Amino acid sequence: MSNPSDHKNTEEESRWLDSTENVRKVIRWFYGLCVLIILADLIFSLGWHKHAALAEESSLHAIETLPAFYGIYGFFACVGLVYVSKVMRGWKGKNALMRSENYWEK
Amino acid sequence: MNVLASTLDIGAHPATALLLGGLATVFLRGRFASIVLILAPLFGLGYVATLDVGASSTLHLFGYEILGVVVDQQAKLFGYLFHIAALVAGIYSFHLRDPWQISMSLLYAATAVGVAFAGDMLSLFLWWEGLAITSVFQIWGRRTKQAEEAGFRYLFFHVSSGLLLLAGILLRYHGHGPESLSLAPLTDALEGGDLGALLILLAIGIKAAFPGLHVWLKDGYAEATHSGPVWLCAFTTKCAVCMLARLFPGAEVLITIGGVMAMFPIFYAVIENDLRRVLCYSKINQIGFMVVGIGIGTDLAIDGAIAHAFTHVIYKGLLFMSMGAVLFRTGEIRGSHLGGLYKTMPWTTGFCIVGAASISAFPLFSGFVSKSIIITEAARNGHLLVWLCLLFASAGVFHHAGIKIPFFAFFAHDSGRRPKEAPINMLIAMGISSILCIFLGCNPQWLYDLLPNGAAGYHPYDATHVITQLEILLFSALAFTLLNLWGKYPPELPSVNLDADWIYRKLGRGFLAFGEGFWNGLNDRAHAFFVMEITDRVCLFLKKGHVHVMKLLHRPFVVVGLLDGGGAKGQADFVKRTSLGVHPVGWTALFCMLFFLGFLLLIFI
Repeated sequence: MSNPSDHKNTEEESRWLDSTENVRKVIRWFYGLCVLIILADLIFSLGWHKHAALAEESSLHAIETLPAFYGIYGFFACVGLVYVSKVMRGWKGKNALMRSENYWEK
Repeated sequence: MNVLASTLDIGAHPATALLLGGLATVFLRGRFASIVLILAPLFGLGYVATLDVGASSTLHLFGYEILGVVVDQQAKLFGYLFHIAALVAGIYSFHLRDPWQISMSLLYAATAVGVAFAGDMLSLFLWWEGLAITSVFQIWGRRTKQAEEAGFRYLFFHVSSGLLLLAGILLRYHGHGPESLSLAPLTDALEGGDLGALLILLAIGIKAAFPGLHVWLKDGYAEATHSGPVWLCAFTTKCAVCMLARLFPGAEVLITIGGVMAMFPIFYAVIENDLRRVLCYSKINQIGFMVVGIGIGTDLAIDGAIAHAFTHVIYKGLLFMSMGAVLFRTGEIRGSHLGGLYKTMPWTTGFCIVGAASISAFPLFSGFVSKSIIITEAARNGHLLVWLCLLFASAGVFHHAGIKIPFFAFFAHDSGRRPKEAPINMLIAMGISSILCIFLGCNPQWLYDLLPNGAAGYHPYDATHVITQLEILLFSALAFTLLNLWGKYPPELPSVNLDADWIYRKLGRGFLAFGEGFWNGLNDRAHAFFVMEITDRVCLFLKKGHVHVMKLLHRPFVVVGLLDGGGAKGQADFVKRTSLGVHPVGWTALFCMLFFLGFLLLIFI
């Protein structure tokens, strides 16, 4: 399935995404989108009544209805996720759960 | 009563088309088999559509009445789902020429349909065993040593599941009589501490990949053929979800189990290098959502779980298809060895992104209309911690399945690989799935109308939902982007990660080594003692014992001078004569007399 002709030709045309400038452009658009959704949330929270997912008597009710709660939660969830995963791989240079690829065959 | 009789409300079993197709492909070769692979699910799908809710068929066998088929709304929905999944997977596997894989895949789909329509525990058990046996050929089909071993490990789990189910059914039958064979909910029995119900839950739990029982999934699927996981991901775990929804709706314990299932795999998924294994972890995470929904147990939550099973089969199949196409074209599936494939596989990339958007529950994609029901119900019913877990899991699944899969396979650093675009049949299959993902995302009512309770009163496209969901997704992506730019994101490394399989693959091996050392050591010692020592001594006694006794008897006579042979030569001569049993007649008579005297004394004493 894999054969040498699959590999890159030297005279291959370069793609739009090959240029770092364009990648930066995409990332900038993405930041803009993030700001936009926060603005939408803000306007929606102030201007209309946002439905709360949690019931009134729930301890997190007040926090959940704050604008940008979901964004901040999602952001920190992912940062936490990545850091915990890194610890799962190894801690202070020692492997925790990570092993070499032929580990099971050993 | 020993007569075989059956009553049929319906013309034939709903799995008939797939069963016949599976049998036909045993004998057909080449394109003919592939055409059956597509026609059988099509006929089956048409037939399921004609079934009336409430119909059933029974079979009288050896005095038992087996309720072979019961058609209800849930069974019909899963019937549609399994046929659609088989059709798409069939188109995807059109180029396959391995008769084992082709026929077993159709039979596998048939057993799944059988489980969905099973009317009582007996028929459920038969189809359940069928699921285990027919599915393993998708792993063995790869024909490598690793695949063969993984297949046996897979089979070990699934055969155990079947045996646990049987044990549970028998325990309940002996405790509660024939009524216990019905598929009525066992939630009360489970919560009342009924052992049979617990065993049945465990049996389903193995197939649903409950935490700790999940390793067969990431182990088996990652070793399967390129088309194998497309079949595997559609049926086994969804049969388990179908049965959980039937037997254990509202079981509190499922909320905790589901919460754990939704959480722990995402950590593994972030550091996993094998991209199909990443999908396996995200699959466990998605089943976690369904299990939570069933555990909450309200009509809407169970509808959410079933709807999520429906959308999940389609988008997860799509993701496995795109990764299968990458594996097929490059022979490689490790993230560390892939990248930049979008240049030559643009269609596959596009379809993969649709699948990624669906699993991440982007509005307008299928995951959104089902997952949000479960999350909303968790919040509404006051399961605050689980709600936070599910939100975390939604962010996490976007992070690893939504971004990581397409990013590391098709973008990221350029691996220099320039494979051809996937074959046309694979593109068609992925295209159909993509259209379904978007169609269901945009027209959730089509799906809701099929649900047992019609998802009464639920509207996914309310502004709060859309905005909060987009917010959580975009900010998860922001975290990914920033961590990547700052070089903090864990790179793809050629590695494996220890999971619960360490217990039986390494600790188990250690246990074997211990057993070998201990029992073989014991055996060696026993051998040395009983065989070498004792037997030797017995032999020695039998060989030399009488000589020794005679020497002891002879000695006093020599000392008192009644007999000759006091010298060393005389001794040696006596020993030789004794061992050969040749003595002068006088001596023999003397010793005989002594023995007789001895016996006489013994008698008088």
